[in-house]
Amino acid sequence: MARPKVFTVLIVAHVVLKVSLFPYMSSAPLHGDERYYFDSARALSNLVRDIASLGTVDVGELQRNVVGNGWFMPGNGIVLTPLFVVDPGAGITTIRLYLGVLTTLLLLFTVMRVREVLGDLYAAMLLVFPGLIPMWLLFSFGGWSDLVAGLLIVLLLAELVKWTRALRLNIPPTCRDAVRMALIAGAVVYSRSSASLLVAVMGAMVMSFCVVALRRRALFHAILAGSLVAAIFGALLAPWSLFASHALDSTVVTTTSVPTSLAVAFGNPDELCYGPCDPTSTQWFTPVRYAREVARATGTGEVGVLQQMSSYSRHGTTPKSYAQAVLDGFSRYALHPAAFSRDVRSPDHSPEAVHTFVVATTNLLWLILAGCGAILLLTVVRGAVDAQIVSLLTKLGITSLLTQPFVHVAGSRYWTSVAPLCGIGAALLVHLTAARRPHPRLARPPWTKAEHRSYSGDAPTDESPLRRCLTAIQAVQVILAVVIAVSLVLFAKE
Amino acid sequence: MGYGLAGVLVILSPSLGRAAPSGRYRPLLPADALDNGCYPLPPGVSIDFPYQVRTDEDLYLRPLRRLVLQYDEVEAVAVRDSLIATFMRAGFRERRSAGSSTSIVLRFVKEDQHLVTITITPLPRLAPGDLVRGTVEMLLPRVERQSNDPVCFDRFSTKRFAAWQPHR
Repeated sequence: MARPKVFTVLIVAHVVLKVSLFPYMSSAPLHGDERYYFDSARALSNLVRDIASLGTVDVGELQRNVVGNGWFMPGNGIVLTPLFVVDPGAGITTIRLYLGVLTTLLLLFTVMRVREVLGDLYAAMLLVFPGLIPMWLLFSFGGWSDLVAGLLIVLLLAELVKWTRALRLNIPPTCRDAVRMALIAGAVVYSRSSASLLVAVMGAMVMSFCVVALRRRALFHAILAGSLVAAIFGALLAPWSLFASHALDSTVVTTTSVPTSLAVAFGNPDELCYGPCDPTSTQWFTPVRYAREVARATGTGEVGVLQQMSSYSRHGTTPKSYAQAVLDGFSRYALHPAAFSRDVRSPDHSPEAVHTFVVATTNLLWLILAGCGAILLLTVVRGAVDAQIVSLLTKLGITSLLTQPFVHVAGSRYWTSVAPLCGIGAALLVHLTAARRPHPRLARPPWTKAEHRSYSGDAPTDESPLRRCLTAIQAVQVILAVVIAVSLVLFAKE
Repeated sequence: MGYGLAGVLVILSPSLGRAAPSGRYRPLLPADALDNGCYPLPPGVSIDFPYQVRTDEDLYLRPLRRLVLQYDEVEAVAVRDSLIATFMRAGFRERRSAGSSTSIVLRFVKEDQHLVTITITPLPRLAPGDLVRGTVEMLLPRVERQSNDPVCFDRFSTKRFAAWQPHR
């Protein structure tokens, strides 16, 4: 099939499937954390109003609804704010329609960017994985930020691949590149704080790459650009960190949820509040209420109290109980990708047949996609440097996101953050398989791109040391992944 | 043009009404159970160390009120001294105080009829920096609800969970 036709067919398929699934969720009541994201958007829209009318800003409303307990980054609230600026009383169907349109636009933008940097094969793969997974499409009508973060992570990956290509030609990043990188990294962290590790690891990877690949003057420029990225990123994060710290009277950089998550996932719930917490409330809210009471009594910040509560409740945690809880988390993370389809049904328009279709198709496609991700995690790419870098970054990204079950109660919507990266991984596997064939059409441009567009005439210097280095790092990644997986199983069965 | 349209919408936004966030994703800090005017301590008794009330209930088979609170930042001996001082000031007499390796038991009586029993138990396995240090269980004379203020029906404030059917 001709390439443009492939894209047309895939985009039409995505849109048709999405439109068909819309009624299933269009009037589904808010579920769980969606309440926070919509409330934060409403409060932020009021902030816009207050500023536009030069009125008094309702700081209390912002603290209560945007910072809240400090559990979530405000990224998705910011994304939703324009809707509430225009329509302060927007109903649930309008909200879901707005989110559906926005996420499709973000998917298409990501696909275009990936097509430009990595080639048609990778872009087309994203349109299928995750673009045609029914449950991913349903989540795209939801207020959670995991799915948006997943797409932004792919944008970050594309940007990093572009940087490394220029660096290999000894071309340091420009100011413009640095600003763009910082904006994307900032957007990733603003949408999901659990991706902070991914951003840090990927940033460190590129800076190490500079040290290995660049000569003096270019290295100096690259360090300047890296510092600029860090400075802009810090400036982007600062307003949130300062406001959240002020609201919670504690030091908050991104979010505050890890101590309570650790306690709920691995601790003894009967000791979380130095004894049982107040009954008749959820395992998430009741510790916060208690921490606020202790903070009031002692004149301290609630976040510090939550950390102490978490440590106390985890006294009895053994390697075995920890490993079992992590494996349980992984099973919730990866084995029930369509579990939410029961929770996001419109009261009147969600026939059982659609539910069955969503579950069956999602399970099948996710099985293929997760399988590709797992195979990539166990593969050391040794061929072209560019493919090695894509492999390295994708593996770093997937493993960084998979740290979540180690510190957090995992849920069956977190896979939407890792799914687009697994899509890139799937495309890389197809690319590598195609490259072994006598006529590797899919491993050549425009299906696969591997060079810096503007400087393609300028051949890089001998890259065999770099290639060996990248092979070694990937081998370490694979060994670590296997060791961690085997240790978990052994500890859990001990 | 996009920026212009966005600018116009922002300028118009105050006239389009105001959004109403629910604020429900942030648990309120409930009023302190001993400070909300609902079920007070015996007259003259006050708590002079940092604490948070955990539960408050009327015992089923005995005419007593069981109040459990946790003390913060201070040790059991300081809590004992503070409680003895406040109950003495309130006209109670100390009777047959005792203790074991794990807890301190205080008994007070007033006008030979109101017996109060207090058990102070430090929490096990504390880290040095932990703010919460232990538990005080008080068996006190029952007290009627002193007010019909809505706060007296907020179980997170009164901590009288036993009197309510569990619901979310």
